[in-house]
Amino acid sequence: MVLKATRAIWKREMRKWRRNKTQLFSSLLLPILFLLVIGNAYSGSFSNVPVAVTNLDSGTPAQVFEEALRNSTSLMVVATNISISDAMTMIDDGKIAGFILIPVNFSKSLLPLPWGVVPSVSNKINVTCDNTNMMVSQALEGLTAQVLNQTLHDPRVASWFNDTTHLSFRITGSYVAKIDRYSTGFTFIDFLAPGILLMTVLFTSLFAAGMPIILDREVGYFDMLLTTPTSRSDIVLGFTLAGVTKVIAQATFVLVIAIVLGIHMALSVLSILSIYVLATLLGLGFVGISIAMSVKIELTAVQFVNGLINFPVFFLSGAFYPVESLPMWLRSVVFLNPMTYAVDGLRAVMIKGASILTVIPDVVFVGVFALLTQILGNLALYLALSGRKIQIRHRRQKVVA
Amino acid sequence: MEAIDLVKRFNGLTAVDKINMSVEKGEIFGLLGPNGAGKTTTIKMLITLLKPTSGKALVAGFDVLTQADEVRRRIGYVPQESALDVRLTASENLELFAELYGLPKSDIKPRIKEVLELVELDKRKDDLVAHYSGGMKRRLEISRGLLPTPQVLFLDEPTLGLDPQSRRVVWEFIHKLQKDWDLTIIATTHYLDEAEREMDRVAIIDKGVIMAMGPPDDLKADFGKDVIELTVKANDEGSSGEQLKSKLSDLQLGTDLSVNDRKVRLGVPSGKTALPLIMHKIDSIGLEVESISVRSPSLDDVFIKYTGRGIREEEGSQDSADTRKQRAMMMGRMRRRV
Repeated sequence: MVLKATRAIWKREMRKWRRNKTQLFSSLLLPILFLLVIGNAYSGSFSNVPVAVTNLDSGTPAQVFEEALRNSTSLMVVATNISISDAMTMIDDGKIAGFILIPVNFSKSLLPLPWGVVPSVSNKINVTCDNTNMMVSQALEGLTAQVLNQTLHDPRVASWFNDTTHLSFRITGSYVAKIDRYSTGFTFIDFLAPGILLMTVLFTSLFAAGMPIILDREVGYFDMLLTTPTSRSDIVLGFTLAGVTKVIAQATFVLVIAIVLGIHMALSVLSILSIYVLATLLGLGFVGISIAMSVKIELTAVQFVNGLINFPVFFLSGAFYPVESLPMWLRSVVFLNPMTYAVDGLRAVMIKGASILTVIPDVVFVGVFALLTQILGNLALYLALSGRKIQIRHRRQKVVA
Repeated sequence: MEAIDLVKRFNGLTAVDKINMSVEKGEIFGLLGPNGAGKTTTIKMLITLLKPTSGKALVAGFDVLTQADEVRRRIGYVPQESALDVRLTASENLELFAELYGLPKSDIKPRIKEVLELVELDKRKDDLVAHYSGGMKRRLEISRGLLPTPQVLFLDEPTLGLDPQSRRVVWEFIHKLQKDWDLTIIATTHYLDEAEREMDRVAIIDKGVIMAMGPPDDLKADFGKDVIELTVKANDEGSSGEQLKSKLSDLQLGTDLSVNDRKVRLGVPSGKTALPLIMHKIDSIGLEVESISVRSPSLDDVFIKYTGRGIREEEGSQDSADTRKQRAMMMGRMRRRV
């Protein structure tokens, strides 16, 4: 019955966890909010971006393009044929996010010589963006290009080309065709779901084991546990297992939410197994860190220190922003971050439905991380206990002595 | 229980300095001293929470250093500050510790019932501890200390912060335990009246050193039969108390003489015979008496004799320290709820 004490500690933690309804409720609500708010906010698709359009060209392609701009659901044309200075004022006033100018010779630039003109900067479609708003301004360029692409494939443009030149229609210049690898229409929320699941694991595990120890330490309860004839490692194991249980429960909850929200997932027995293995190992790793911290850190400092860990671990993992958008010096952090591997592995099995073999390197990396932090946590606690430096409260008393 | 040359240093600060004591089975033994005297540190070494810097201690016949688990199996400990999980019920708190003490599963329930009945909390065993009063929490903690059927029960300031009525109730329990269970009880306190009334033997600790040890009555007997306390009026030379002290010591009336501003305290074999001599002396040096009293000695007098100051003189700071502690504990609890 070595594990009797461990089980007793675990049972106590579980009781308290169940009873703290506010904490339980908000910790369940957080991942839902993240998925819904961030998932939809950065979904990559825009609608009704306000723009102004001025068309100086009477050619058919220009007319078709203008019409297509008006019909686009991504854009909302709020003003037409206004002067450039008026458009700039509108951008300054924040009434529009961009101004699209169709130059006089736009249509002609599509025609080969001798009918048309040589394509140059002056006869390209001009998009003036409000570049203080980075994301919208980048999107606007892409959206305009998309509409232009539609225009060039419009039969009216082809017949106009044919009427003018009596040649078969061909588009000068090269165009890239994008083909989706996966038939299901993936959105940003699908990309985000594995990251949110692991974010929940991260947040929960950092608080799950260390926090109860710190609380117990501050009220002298931990000392009481130590006066019993129980081995210290059994007590710590109890706290660790309670932390991991909370992590698994939270991960399960997020998984259920993801199913309810209709997130595209490739769920099978094996993929669910890998999800749990990755989530548990990552949780175990951060539980180890939180136990190591519980030796020194006071209650009031916990949230700040946890924030200090949460933030880079989450944002430098590719869970939210693609790793490719980071500068090289930050990428080295990404490659050392266990969260990166967990996110990578989880995205592969959970969303793409990749073979379980592909995530083995990820599992190994996260597993080694968990092992190291568990050693660190137990070692720190062991050293603190043998030196009896764990009682911050009593240390204060000794100053009086 | 026996301690031999027990020493504990923290970063060069000696909290406990070569303490020697031995406590008999079935005895209520008190450690008396002001805050920071080393009482709690001594207890923590005896219950294996702190490692002694040097020296040796045996509890229930086992060495606290080399046989820590054997010691832990035979002791109960009630800490100075409430260390209960307020979000668990009384029986859940006890259940955890029963399991940590390794009681057989079938024994746990009846044992919890037994100790809760003993402290008369069995009717509220399923209430959250958060709803308990200070006295109830103390009793619950004592019952937790009794779970492992200890041979020695350590009580660190068992009545700290309780009202007089609850204090009496707690001591009634302690006496009942001593009688019914044949327990050895080692308690710390800074309430001298309690020590005098409730304890079989006391040790007075100051600055980590045991200044005196013995039954309260013996300690008081050493001091003399009567205590004469007198306050003289101030005179031109200012330090009238000191002046009187030197004159009185010439009389060689008693064993002890202490002075605090204009107040002089004197232990004498007989108040009746000493008083006229003293009055005469005072007259002869031209001092005037403001007030005078003759009474039996108290532990307070003994305490002053050995430490040079009254335990009451520290009461002011002690009280504020108590409120500070309680406030910190309350805040701790509030934070826990958040």
